[in-house]
Amino acid sequence: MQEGALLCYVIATNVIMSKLCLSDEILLNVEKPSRYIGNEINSIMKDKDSVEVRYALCFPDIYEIGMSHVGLPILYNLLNLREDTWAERVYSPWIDMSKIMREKKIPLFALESQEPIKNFDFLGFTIQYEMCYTNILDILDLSGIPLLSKDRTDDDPIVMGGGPCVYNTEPIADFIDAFYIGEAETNLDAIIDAYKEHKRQGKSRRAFLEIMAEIEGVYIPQFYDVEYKEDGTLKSFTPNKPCAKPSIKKQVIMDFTSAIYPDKPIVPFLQTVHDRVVLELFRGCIRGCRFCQAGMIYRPVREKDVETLKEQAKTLLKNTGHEEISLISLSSSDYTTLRELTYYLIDELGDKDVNISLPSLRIDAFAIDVMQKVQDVRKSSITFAPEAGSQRMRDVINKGLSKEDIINGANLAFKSGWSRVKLYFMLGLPTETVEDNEGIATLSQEIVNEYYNLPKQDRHGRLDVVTSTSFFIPKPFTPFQWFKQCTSEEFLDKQRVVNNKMNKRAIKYSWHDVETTLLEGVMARGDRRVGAAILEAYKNGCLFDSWTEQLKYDVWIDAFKKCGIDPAFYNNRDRDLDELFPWDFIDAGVTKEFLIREYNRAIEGTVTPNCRQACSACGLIGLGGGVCYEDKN
Amino acid sequence: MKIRIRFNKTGAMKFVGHLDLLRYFQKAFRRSGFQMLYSKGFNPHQAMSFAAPLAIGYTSEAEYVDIGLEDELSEEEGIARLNANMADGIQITGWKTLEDNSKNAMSIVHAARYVVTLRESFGLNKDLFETVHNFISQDEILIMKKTKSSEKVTDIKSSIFEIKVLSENSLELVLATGSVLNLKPELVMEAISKYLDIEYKENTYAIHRIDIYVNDNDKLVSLYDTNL
Ligand code: SF4
Repeated sequence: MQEGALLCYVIATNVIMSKLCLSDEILLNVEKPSRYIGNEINSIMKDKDSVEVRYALCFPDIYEIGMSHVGLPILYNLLNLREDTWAERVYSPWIDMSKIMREKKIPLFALESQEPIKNFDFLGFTIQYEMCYTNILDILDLSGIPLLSKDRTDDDPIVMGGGPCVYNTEPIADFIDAFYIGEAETNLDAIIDAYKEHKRQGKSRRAFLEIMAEIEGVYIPQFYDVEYKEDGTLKSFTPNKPCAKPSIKKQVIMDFTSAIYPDKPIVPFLQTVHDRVVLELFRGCIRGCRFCQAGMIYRPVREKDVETLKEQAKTLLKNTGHEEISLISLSSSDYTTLRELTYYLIDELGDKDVNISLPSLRIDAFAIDVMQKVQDVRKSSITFAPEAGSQRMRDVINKGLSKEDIINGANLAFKSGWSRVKLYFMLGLPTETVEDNEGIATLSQEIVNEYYNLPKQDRHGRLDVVTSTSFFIPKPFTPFQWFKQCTSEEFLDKQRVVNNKMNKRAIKYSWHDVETTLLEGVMARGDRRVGAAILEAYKNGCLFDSWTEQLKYDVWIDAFKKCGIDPAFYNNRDRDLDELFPWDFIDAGVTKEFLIREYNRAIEGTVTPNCRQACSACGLIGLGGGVCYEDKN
Repeated sequence: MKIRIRFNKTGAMKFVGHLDLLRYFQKAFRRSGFQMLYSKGFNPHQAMSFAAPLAIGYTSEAEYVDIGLEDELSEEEGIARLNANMADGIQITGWKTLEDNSKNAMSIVHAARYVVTLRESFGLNKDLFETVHNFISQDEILIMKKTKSSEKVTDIKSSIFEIKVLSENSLELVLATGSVLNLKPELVMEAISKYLDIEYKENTYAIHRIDIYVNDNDKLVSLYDTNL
């Protein structure tokens, strides 16, 4: 090869590189540089001059976590289907990168265009867990967008928030311009249409927020005034503008089968948490576990038709090249045509060496058969989530899983070759006693006994049991929203009870971090005043709080003190049934009457049937579809 | 059939590391609808083997991966299908059918050619022509080679097969590559810094791989041309 030709090539390479926002020297000095380059298969490039609206979608955690989330691709697809809009992605830069960006004053950019977020029309956060709130502030700060909504000007993007955490928006109400409550498929388009119109007329940001406030599902915090009583509880929560609705209705897409879904999801270069195709079987859950927020806020159950799922499975595998497909939902066994779908996929895809995974499956004969076909029995484990150790406690939380179900399931699995079991429980549930805690150790032991009672030839080596407990945090829109959360000391006492009773020769016991639980509790049921403490904690260095090794608990506690926030007020107080909650203005579908009914039944220990056994009139029937009408078709 | 695929890696793709590239190709083959041969076992893997991993940050115009296919595919069709499924920065430039009994690329690699372009931050303080001439004229070129478990002083001179200055800030290197002897270009750059008595800093130069070679009767022959 000629010398001259070589040199040209080297120069040409540099020209291509200039498309990236960051220089080689920066990218080569950080961990996993491909977090910041975009360019993945199926990512969408558009000509920025040919679109009218630029939308930055943000999952406020690192790339590998954000890219594993199933909600963001739906929004990405929905927005990019519009010719007039270009949706791009942005994630939290890891600490090594944000440090360099600050030193060199490089503004945060979107992955596709590599252009600053500040120049976008919208910045939308999907908010999946409470412990990401400081990351939201970091994204804003790195973008050069004022942290407080009230300080933003016409030059700043409209900052939006959606996802499960927006069923209590108030702790982050000061930072977000507009929340969207519910599923984006219904009204996101209306927002973009309104924005285009507004942009053409050249009106102010505030004028646009007023227009937005009238769209169903949209909540603009600054259009509401909050007053507190002397005891610290909420006195009133009232609109201060005629455009602001007194109640915000959760948005639900009723026809899930024909809902637009992303048929070409992005395939990351980096190994992400879920490196596979994900198929949603249905939204919602029929079960009605009383601690579970997802089971309440995603009601009613709406299934996707099995034929549609078969087609989508094939299309998605073809378009991504993934070698694994995961069928997800809150409780897969409740999908009415699960057998048909699973056996179809095994027959169709098995010979193409595609792995099929079915999380959240109840262990019964069908599950064992399927798992034997799709997993390596010796390497995989079976999972039970009884959540509570005694039958009494399981009745209180309405978890319809009996000891017999678990023992019989384990027995079947053992006989079929499994020798690994994972068990999940919660500590600190309402009405919980020492006996309930001890029941966790007892139940774990009964599983061990079941294994060793099998004749030797039926066993497969040593049994491996891992029992994990997490701490219960009461969440808004659940029947447990009135109950107190345990103090850290109470939690640790309960953990000690379990630990002392646990047979550690046969069972590995692992537990959750009590400090994170306290903070999460304050965020989960906090009010608008908590925002000041989040800001203070962030300013003092809190970031990536969901990463245990990054959590600066003392800084958080100092921030609470400085802002006059008493965590015990939010966490460790039984609330009166008539207390006004900061999230009461949201109409999540489930009525307060239903939640109170469930609260009372919990105290009595009365089980409530699931939606397919009998309707409990939770309030969702008014939407005119889903499980509420299944037998009426 | 056994195929050797040649591809280049430029632009943003230089930040995609070797293991990620492996997964990238596995998925690309599936998207292209290739019927791959699989290894046996409960978790079968596509039969594929890369000639020599390219470090993060390097670009290249000739990387190689050998694959096994169940179906017969022409060169034209194979390249077209794959290129329709590539990310910006990777292009398939060659497709060669191998004899069934031919050796894997990885096992026969002997050398690789690189162009190294110095950035300002490298801190070159002398004329590059003169420097390189004197550098390579030393009797031995000693450098500290670090492995996971130990550090030892090694003479790398015999692993530098060729060194040539291309311009005032770029040079070309042919270095031993493979399982027997393996010399990374950055070790040479470290040695040059040491020789120039300047502080060595990583990533103050860009590395571009030109080709990978086998040793065929003491001649360097491109992996693409060899019949070994
Ligand atoms: S209205 Fe009845 S069937 Fe519908 S979600 Fe509520 S409890 Fe279930």
